[in-house]
Amino acid sequence: MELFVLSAINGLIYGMLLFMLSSGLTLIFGIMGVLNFAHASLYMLGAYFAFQIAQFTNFWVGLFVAPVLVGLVGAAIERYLLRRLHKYGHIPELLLTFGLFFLIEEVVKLVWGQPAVPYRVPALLHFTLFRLYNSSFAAYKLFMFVVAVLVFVALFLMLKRTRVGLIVQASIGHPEMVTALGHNVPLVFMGVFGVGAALAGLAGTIMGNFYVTEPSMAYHVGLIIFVIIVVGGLGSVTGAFIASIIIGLMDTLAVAFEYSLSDLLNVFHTQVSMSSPLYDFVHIKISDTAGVLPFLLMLVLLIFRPTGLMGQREV
Amino acid sequence: MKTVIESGGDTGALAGKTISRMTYAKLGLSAATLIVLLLVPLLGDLAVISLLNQIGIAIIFALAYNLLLGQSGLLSFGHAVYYGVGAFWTIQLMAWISNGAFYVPTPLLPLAGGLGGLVFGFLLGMFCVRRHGTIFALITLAVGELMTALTIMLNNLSGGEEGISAWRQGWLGFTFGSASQVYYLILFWVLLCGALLYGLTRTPFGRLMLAVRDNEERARFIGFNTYRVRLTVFCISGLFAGVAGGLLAVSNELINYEVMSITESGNVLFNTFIGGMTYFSGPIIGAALITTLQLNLSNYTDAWLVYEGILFVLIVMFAPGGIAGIIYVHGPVLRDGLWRLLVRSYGIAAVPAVLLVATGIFLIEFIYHWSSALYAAGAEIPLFGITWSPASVWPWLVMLVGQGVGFYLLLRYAIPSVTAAWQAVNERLNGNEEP
Amino acid sequence: MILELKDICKSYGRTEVIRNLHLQVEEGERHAVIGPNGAGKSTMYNLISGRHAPDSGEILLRGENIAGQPPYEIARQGLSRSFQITNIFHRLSVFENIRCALMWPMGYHFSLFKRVSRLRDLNERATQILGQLHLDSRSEVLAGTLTYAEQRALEVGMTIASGAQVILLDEPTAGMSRSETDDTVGLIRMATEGKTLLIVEHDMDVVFNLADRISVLVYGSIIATDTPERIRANAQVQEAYLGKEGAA
Repeated sequence: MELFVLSAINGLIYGMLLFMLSSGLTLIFGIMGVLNFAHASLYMLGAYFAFQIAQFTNFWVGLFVAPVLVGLVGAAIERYLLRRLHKYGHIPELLLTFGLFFLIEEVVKLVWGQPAVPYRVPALLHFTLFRLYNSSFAAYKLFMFVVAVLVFVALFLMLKRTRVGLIVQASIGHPEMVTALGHNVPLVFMGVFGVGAALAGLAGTIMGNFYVTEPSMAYHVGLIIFVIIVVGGLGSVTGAFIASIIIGLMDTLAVAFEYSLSDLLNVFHTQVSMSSPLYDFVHIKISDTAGVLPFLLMLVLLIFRPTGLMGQREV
Repeated sequence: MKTVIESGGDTGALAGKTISRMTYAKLGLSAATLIVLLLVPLLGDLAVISLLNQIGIAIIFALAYNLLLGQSGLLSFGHAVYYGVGAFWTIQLMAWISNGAFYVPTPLLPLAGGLGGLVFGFLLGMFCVRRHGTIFALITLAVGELMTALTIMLNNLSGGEEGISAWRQGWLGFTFGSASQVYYLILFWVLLCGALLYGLTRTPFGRLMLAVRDNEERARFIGFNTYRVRLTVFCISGLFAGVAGGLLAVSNELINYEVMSITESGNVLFNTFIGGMTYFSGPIIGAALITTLQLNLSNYTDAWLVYEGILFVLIVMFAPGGIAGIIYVHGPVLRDGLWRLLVRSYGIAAVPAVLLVATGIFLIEFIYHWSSALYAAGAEIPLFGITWSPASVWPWLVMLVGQGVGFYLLLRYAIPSVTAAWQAVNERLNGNEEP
Repeated sequence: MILELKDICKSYGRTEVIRNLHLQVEEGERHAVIGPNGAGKSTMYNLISGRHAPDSGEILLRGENIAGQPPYEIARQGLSRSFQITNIFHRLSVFENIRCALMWPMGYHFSLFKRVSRLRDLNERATQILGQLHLDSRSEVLAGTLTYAEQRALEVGMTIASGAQVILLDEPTAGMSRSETDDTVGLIRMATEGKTLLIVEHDMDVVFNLADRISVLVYGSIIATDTPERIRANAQVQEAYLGKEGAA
C-alpha cells in the first residue's frame, strides 16, 4: 500500500515532466505535420547546456539561459533546414529529424564525451522534503513538479486566451487556411518549433541533474514521448497531458510489480520446467517489461485507433 | 529537363530498339566488374576479403530495404527485425546441424534466414502496413523495440548477451573454413538476390509498387487492394532481409540480440538513403561505401560517426537522390559532352569546398581531442603531426576563420556559379530532346 | 437499370450533404448530373465509387448493393470514375499511367514473375488508348509535367482504359478551352459507345450535346430527371439556378 502511494506520486510527477517534453512535440506535429525525431535531442541539449553554464556560473543562471539557447537552436533548425523540405512531403522531413537526432547525439559525445557528466542538483534544493513510509521524498521533486505545473498553466493560458494562441490553434491541421487569412504562417511555424524546443530544453535543464545526463538520454526518453503523443492523439495538447500521466504512472508502477506469469501459474499449482522453451517467457516479470509496456500500448492504438485518445488528425 | 524515369522502367514502346553504344558499355563494365570480383580472393588479403564479405551482406539487406523505402515510399525504422530473425533462424539451424540432427548444405543455409524473414514479415507486416507514412514509421519503430526487448528477455532462445554460436559445416569438398570460400558463397547470393530484385522492378507488380507509392488512392480506384500490395512488398522485403541475416550467421558464426536493434535498423537506413533510394544501384553504392568507411575510417578517427551524421543530413537537404543520384545526373552531361560547361564552375566551387572540409575536419578532430584533453588535465594535443596546446587560441581562430571564409565563398561565388552552369546544361539537354 | 441510388443520406459532422437522394441510370445511356455549386455532386460520386460510405440507403449496381464497399471492389465490378482534381500518377510516365490502369482489368493482378515489357497485349492496348487520347507523342513524359489539359485527358483516359461498363466522369472539361472541350467530348462519346456514362458537368453545351437524360442535384437531392429539352423548360430547375426572380 505504501509502495503504491509513493509510486503513484512519483508516477504523477514523472508524468508531468513527460508532458513538458511531449507538449512541444505534439504541437509541432499538429501544426506542421512533422514528427520531430530530434525533440528528445533538444531535451538532451538543454541538460548539457545547463550543465556547462552551471560550470561557469550556477544552476539558476542555467535554468533561464539553457532553454533559451535550445529554443534558438530549434528555431534555426526550422528556419534553415526543415523549411526547405516542406514541399517534398513528410518522408524527407522525418529523415532530416532522424538524421539530426543521430548527429546531435554524436556531437554531444564529441564535445562532452561518452560517460555521464556530473550535472548535480543545486545545493539549495538538495534535501529531503519528507519521509513517507520509510522512503524519502526529495525536495527537488517538488521543484520539478512546480515547474511542470507552471509550464502547463502557461501553455494553457497562451493557447486558449491569447491571440497568438488562437492563431496557433487554428493552424493545427489547417495551416493553408491560416495563411489565406493573412497570418505569417512561416513565422508561426518557426515560433512553435522554437518554443517547443525551448520547452524540451527546459525539461532537460531541470531533469538532467536529477536523473542522469549522458548521451543516450535522448534515445531513452525519445521513444517514450512518441508513445505519448500517439496515445494522446497527434496534435492534441490535452491528450498529451492525459497520456503523459497514464504513461508516467504505468512506467513507475510497473517497476514495482515483480510478478510474472509463472506466479499466476503457481496459484494453479502449475509449473513450467526449466528446459522448456516457454520457461523464459512465463518468468518475465512485469517489472522487466516496464520499459516496453508503453510500446505495446502504442502499437495497439496505432492499429485500432490511430487518432489516439483525443486527436483528430490521422496523417 | 529530361527528368529521370524510375529505375527499371522500360516501357513496351522501348522494347525492340536496337542495342545502343551505352548498353554495350554497360555490359562491358559489368563483365569486367564480375571478373575482378571473382579474382579478389586470389589477389587480396584477409582484411579486404572480410570487408567485402560484410559489404555483400549489407548490400542484400539494403536492396531489400529499398523495396520499402525507395520503391514503395515506406520508411521503416525497424527493419532489422527481419534481418535478425533470419540470422537467428539460420544460426539455430547451424547449431542443430552441428549436433548431428540432420544436414543442410551450407550454401543453402541463407534460405532458412529467408524463410524466417518471410514468416515474420507476414505476421508483423499484417499490422505494420495497415497505415503508411509517419504512422507506419512509428509502428515499425515500436515493433522493432518490442522485438528487441523480447529477444533479450527470452534468454534461452536467443542466448542472451553472448548469443548463439555455431560452426559452418563443409559441403562437397568445400570446408568453408576460410574467409575466401565464404566470400564466394556471399558473392553468389549477392548476385542471385540482386538479379531477382532487379527483375522484380520489371514485373507488373514492380510497376504497381511505384504507382501505389505515388498515389495510393488512385491505385485503389483502378482495382487494387493497396493493403495487400504493401503487405506483399513487406513480405518480399522481409524475405531478402532474412537472407542477408542468414549470410551474417554463416559468416560470423555468432549472433546475438544486437542484430535486431535500432542501431542496425538505422544503419541500413543510412546505407540505403546515402546511396540513393530512387535508383536500383543506390543501396549497393551506399552499402559498399558506408561499410568501408565504417570499418576503416574508425581506425583514423573516433569522430567517424559525426562525419556520417553530417553526410546524412547534407544528403537529405541537398541531394535527396543520394550518391547514385549525383552520379546519374551527370550521366547525360558526360554522354552529350557537356561537361565543359560545368568544369569551370566546379573549379570555383572546389575552393570553398576544400576549405570547408579541411577546416571542418580539423575543427571536429580538435574538439574531440580538446574535450578529452580537458579531462586529462591540460595535456597536449597531437594532431596531424603537430602538437597543440589546449589553451592556445590560434587553432580556434584559424578554424573559425577558415569556416567563415569558406561559407562566404560558397554562398557568394560557388553556388551561383554552379547553379548557372547547370541551367546552361539543362537548356542544352532540353534542346536536344525530341518533341 | 444498371445503377440505382435509393434514399441515400450522407452527413459530414452536422452538415447534411446528401439527403434522401434517388437516382436511376439506365444501361447504355449517357446521363448527366447538373446542379449549383456545393449541391453535393462530388460527394455523390464519392459515395457511388466507394471513397466514402453513405450513412444510409442503398447503391445498387446491377441489382447488387455496393454501398460501403472499398473502391477497389467496386472498380472490379465494372464501375470506374475520374476525379475533378486530377488524380494521376505524377511520377510515372504517361504510358505507365495507362498501363497501370489496364493491369487489373486485363488480369495482371499480383504478377510477380512476368516481364512487363514482354506483355504484348497490355502494351499494345496501352499504346492504342494513348493514340485515342492524342497523347502518344508524350508517352515517355512524366505525367506530372504535362499541361493541364493533357493531364485532364490522361485522367479521363485512365478511367476509360479499365474497360468498365459504368463510367463516372467528374467535370472532365473543367478549365479547358473551347477546342480542348470539343476534343474531350469527342473522346468521351467514342469511348463510351455501348457503355453507361454518368457525367457531372457545368458546361451546359457539353451537357446538352452529350446527355440522353439529365438529373438536377440541388441541396443534396435530385429534384428532376428528364430529357434535356424538358429539363430546360422545367420551372423548378430554373428557379434553382437563377433564383425565384429569374424563373420565367
